[in-house]
Amino acid sequence: MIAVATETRTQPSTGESELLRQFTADDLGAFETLFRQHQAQVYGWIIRLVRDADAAEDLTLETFWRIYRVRERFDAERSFEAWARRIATNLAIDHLKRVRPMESLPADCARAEEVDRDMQEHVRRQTERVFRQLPAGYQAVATLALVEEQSYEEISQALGISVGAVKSRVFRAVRLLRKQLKRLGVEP
Amino acid sequence: MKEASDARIKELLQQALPPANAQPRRDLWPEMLRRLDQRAPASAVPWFDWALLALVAICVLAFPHSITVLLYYL
Repeated sequence: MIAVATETRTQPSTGESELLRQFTADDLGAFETLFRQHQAQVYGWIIRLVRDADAAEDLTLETFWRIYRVRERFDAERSFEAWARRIATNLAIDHLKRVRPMESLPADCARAEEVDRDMQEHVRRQTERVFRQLPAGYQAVATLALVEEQSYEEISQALGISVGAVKSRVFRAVRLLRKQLKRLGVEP
Repeated sequence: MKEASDARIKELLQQALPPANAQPRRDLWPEMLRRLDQRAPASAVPWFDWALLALVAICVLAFPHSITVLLYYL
């Protein structure tokens, strides 16, 4: 059976539809209104994924820049928020791909306990390091599903993939994390 | 057993990833305006106009006699 990604088409209100129509007709004032209405939501979504305030600000601006650039193609009857979130998610994943972990995993990390005297801090660091080694797409779904506890439906809409694909990515991300943590002597 | 392990992975991740402050530190609109100014296209000529111009230039270079035909239609 082929799972099909579903997108909730939240109909904008009449006022918002008018605003969106003005925006698609190249009205800078309408764009400013939309920007001010949605910047916090877009930033909030991005920072959950990238966990870096500077990068999140830059990616928020890039998201709105892309929205502005293709404004003529936007259907004013569709949800602006869902559209912005989809673009923001793709940009955040691209960012995660570019920002690779600073160091590769040494084989004897588990024995480097003199560096991390506090065991809990040691485990926390190892987990973060292993997590940053995951492919960007897995990092995104794992953060949203496991840390931020977003619904699979919401994640599937943001990523533009099916709910089944989200579940599969979460499963694979957890499996990879478990394997790597075991390798480093952290027993999950 | 597996569920317990999955829950532990989730707990480890929640500890490892610092909580994210969901609010931007400043209003980003002034920066957005700057970006719009910087990235405004130098000319509003659509790409297909450039493509057409390139095609005409190639035709003229490949078949110089076509210049007269072109001038006739202009």
